[in-house]
Amino acid sequence: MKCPLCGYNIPREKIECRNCPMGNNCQLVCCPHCHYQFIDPHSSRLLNLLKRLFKR
Amino acid sequence: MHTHQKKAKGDEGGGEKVLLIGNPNVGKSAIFNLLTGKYVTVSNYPGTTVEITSGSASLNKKNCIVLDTPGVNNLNPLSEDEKVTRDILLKENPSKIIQVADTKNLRRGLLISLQLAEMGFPFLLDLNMEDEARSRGIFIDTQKLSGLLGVSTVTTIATQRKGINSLIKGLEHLKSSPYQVTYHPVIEDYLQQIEPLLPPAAISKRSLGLMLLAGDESLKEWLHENLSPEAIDKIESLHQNLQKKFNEPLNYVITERRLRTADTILDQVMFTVRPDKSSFTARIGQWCVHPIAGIPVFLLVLYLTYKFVGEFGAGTLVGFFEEVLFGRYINPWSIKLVTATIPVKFIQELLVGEYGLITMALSYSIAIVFPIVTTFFLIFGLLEDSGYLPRLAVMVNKLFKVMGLHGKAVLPMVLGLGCDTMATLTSRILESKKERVIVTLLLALGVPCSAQLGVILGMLGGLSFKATIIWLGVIIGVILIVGYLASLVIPGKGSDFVLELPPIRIPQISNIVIKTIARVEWYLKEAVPLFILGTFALFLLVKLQLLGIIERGASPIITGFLGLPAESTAAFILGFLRRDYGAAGLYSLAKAGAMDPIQILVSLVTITLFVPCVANFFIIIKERGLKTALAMAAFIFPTAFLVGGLLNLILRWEGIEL
Repeated sequence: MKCPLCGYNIPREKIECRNCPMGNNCQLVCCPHCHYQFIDPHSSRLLNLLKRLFKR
Repeated sequence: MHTHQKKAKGDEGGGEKVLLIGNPNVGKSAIFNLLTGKYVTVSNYPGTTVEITSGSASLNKKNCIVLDTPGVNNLNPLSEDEKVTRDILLKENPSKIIQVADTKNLRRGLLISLQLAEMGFPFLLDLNMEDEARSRGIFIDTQKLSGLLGVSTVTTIATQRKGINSLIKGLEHLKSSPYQVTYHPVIEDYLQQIEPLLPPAAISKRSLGLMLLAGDESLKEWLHENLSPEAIDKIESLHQNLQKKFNEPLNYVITERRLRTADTILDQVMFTVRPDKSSFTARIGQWCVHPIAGIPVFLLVLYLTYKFVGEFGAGTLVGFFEEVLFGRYINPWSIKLVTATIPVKFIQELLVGEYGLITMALSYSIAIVFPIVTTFFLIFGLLEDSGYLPRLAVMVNKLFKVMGLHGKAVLPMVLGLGCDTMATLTSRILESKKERVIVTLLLALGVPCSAQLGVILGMLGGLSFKATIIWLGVIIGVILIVGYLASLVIPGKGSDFVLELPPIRIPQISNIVIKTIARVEWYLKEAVPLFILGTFALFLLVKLQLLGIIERGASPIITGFLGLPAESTAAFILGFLRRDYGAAGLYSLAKAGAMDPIQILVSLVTITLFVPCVANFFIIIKERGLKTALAMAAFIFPTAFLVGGLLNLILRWEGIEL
């Protein structure tokens, strides 16, 4: 996953959500390099549903 | 955020094992996703917390299991990740290896290639991110590299799916690399002594011997399983004797030699050309951060956003959703259905009354906010992917310097445009407590999050562009004044602001659409429950006849000082929950013709300066304590009304037409 702000390629294991109180169901990803938060498209149920529909 | 992206239906069928190996951040996972199907398994490597992703693939008409290993910088492991990858090589006996390397950082990739060559594995070298290397003027002679290493070399751009077919084809005829690093003669001599002691393994005795001579502690368990205690003692004594002959640790000496070999290879295969600074995109990039040219560029971006979000989103799309979809169908049908099926008047009013959950909460959420935030998220995605957003951060940094605030404070402020709540958490990166308090205050006071900015711009779309400029000027002015006053009471030196600027590029439409869908879903999940809660609270206030009392109580401020209609009080109450919901209420009033352009602008400025949402307020309590949070609220809300009121007076005094 690439941070849209600083362009850092974020390895999954480096996603830093431990300090965040929003819990496990948050779709936001925090870049460990610049701390920018953005939505992880892979976590979108709607998107996954649409992808499945279009693949059919 | 889930760090465990476990997808259902793990696929662990048979087939050849194909291993993806490489440094961190070289695009291994992107290659993995392109090679495998949609079902993957994520599991911890036995005895560790390190995750391994595997998935099935059909490569060259053969069923394969592809394993994505943790990123490594060295196969003489120094971290748990590196140990896991090395153990997979040692124990899993992969039939094929793809080494993914970052083309622009080939030196560290070659360090892995040389070790794979030493281990004797057949592998293919994939030079990924070729486009990024090219944009930096770095070119690799792949044919020469392939000839030197004796293995196939392909180039890919995984994010654009380029080169994947060549990569798959290259897997058909993998070869081991005959290239061998020659070490110091003493090390070579000890290698001769250690190799006969070693058991047969998936990796070559030379490679194992080097790991053991380097004092690799992580191999102990494996040694005990495969060798007699006497042989282990002898190996240990060889390691200790060899170490005595060198001043540096042996791992360092061996790695240093490999790096020098990598440099020799690089000298022969890599050439650099100074990137063309005069290209059109490079020039746009320079304009975006130029102290003077950057301002018209920013205004142009704002104007285009205003046109798209304000006129198309808030005009055309909201018109369709509100007047046609909800006005003609959903609301009348709901009213009919509810009145026909539910006899209790209280419930009827709760669902489809003036402050009903369907007729107000759902109507505002879907008919007004949804089209506006969707159009805004499209623009925001474009700004992100084009590389403009980091340049905006540089421009804001310059502005911050003017008011004397420290460079590091810029980051949370720009991040606030994404989500204020999360940006408040980011203020932890600031060094002093005072800095953190000031940035938290500025975020809560004047930085609208993307959704709120969308709704506000949507409303401004109904006015002239001049109104947008006035709104922007007032908000920036407030931030500057508050920031400047704050900087006077903040002692301390400025901190550096370091942000790598990615090149300006043309965004991919598919990427923008995907991001927008994900964002809209996230927004609806976050905001709609609060919209429902806010509407319910308003409904109760009406039922308990408290709204009228509040309206009358607030009238000196709302109708007197701000010059707004009394009905806007309800919108401000909603604004306490979320600014964008309050703005949606104001939008509804404006559309009904209850406000003139000056009133719309005044109400927008006021609500922009509100605390963003209750979630943000709770985070402020958590991060700064209840006392500070209450003090901030006590400052923010009166400031919002004060600025709105002053703007009202100035606009009417000067007779400015919008």
